[in-house]
This record gives sequence, C-alpha cells and structure tokens, in this order.
Amino acid sequence: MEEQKIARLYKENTTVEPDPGFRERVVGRLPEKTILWLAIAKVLTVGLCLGLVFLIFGTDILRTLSEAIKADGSPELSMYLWFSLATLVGSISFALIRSVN
Amino acid sequence: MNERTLLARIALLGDSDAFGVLVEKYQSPLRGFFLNLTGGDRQLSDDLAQETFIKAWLGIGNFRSLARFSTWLYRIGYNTFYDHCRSNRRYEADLQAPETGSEDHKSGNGDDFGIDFRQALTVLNPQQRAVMHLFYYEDKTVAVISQITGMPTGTVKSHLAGGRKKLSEYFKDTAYETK
Repeated sequence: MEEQKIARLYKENTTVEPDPGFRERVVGRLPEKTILWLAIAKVLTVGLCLGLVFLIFGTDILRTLSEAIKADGSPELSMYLWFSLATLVGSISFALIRSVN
Repeated sequence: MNERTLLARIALLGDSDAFGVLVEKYQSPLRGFFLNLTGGDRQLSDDLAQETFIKAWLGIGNFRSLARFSTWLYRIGYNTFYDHCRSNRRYEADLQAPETGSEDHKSGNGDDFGIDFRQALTVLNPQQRAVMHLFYYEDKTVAVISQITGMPTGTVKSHLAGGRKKLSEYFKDTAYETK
C-alpha cells in the first residue's frame, strides 16, 4: 500500500473533535504548585509585617533589648540588629502558623 | 498570548489559566494519539490525556525550549502510556505479543472505505501504533519521533516499515485493495 494512502487513511479516520469539558476537567485536577521564590517572598513579606507589629507593640521588650545591645555596640549597628530580629521573629511566627494550618 | 509567554507564565507564576489555553490547544491531538494507541478506548484515552497534562504541569520546570512543547508533551504522553501498559496485564500482553489487539473498537469518523480504521490499527503493536500515528498523522520526522519515544532512529524506521507492511497485509485480507 502506498504511503499516501496510509497517510490519507490516518488523516481521515483518526481526527478527534475537541471535548468542551476537557479543559475544565484537567484544570480542576491540577495540584497547587509551589513556586519557590514566590513562597520565599510570601514568607518574607508576611514576616516583615509581623515584625513591624512586633516593633510597634513590643516596645518595652525592644527598649530593654536595645539598651543591652547599645551597651556592647554602636547605635547604627543596633538599629540593623533590631530590624533583623523583628524580621526573624515575624518569619518564624509565619512559618509556625503555616505549619500548623 | 504566544506559546512562549504562556509557558513562562506557567513556570514562573503557576498560572493555571495559561495552562488551560495549552490544554485547549493540544487536547485533540493528544486524545487522538491515545485513541490510536489504545485501539479506540475513549475512556482510557481521556484518562491518559488528563494524566499527561497533569505531569506536564508538574514538570514544566524541566521543559527546555530547545525542543518544541508538543514534542515534550508527546514524550510525556508516550511514557504515560508505556507506564500504563506495564502496570496493566491486558496491555502488558499487548506490548509483548505484537499481533494481539484491543477488544474495545470504535469507528473512526469519515470512514469512506467501509472499514474500521482503528480496528485495523490493532494489528500493530503499541510501538508501531505510536510511531505510525506520529509519522502519518502528526507529520513528525523520524528524528522527532526518536526524541518522543526514546527509540534510536533505526528502530523508528524499522517500526514504520513493519507497520506499513502489516497494514498493507490487513487491507489486502479485507479486500481493501480491490475497492
């Protein structure tokens, strides 16, 4: 049998019409993807927010901490340490909340 | 939105709507591919096509644009079918015994020769069905078929020759040549 005949039989007999519900069925089954940089960005953003809350409401604790840090280092350095500490606390809180949920 | 943009959105943002556009575009060819591989089993073909798309969604990070998306998708599809064959006794037998066919035959559309073309395809073994479909229906080259199936090009050519011979004999037996 010539190649053209086989090709023609394939083209004429094996075409499948689109199934209108197929896309929804597939998209409905897609598992949620974890995009690494997006997950890190989310944790850092929420961490910063929680850190700010900690900065605002935890002034007494921070004042005590600040005085302790100032005793050993320069005021500029202590500001960075404050900020890092706040972000760290916020990130850990968020990660804990996520792991519980 | 072109395919490259859609793929970037899926890989970077996990955009399921962009993936839906690709599903819409490739669903018919992929379902047709499985329909020929399974000998016309529509339910199984749809299941395999869904599984292929889900694997593509999960593995999109591994896609390198050196190959075309369709080639990559067919490769996943072929492996999905192969895995199914290995885990299913009926199809495993089909893989090992080339002359057996599926019982679930359904007519193709536009069959102007009065023959069930998909039934005719069951005289081929699954590898031959895959290679023949990709070559004659999808117009893929031997090199691309080799990428999709993971077979050496010589094996692809051999399956094409074997498939052509079997189909010729089948149609001769069913008096196709006289029509």
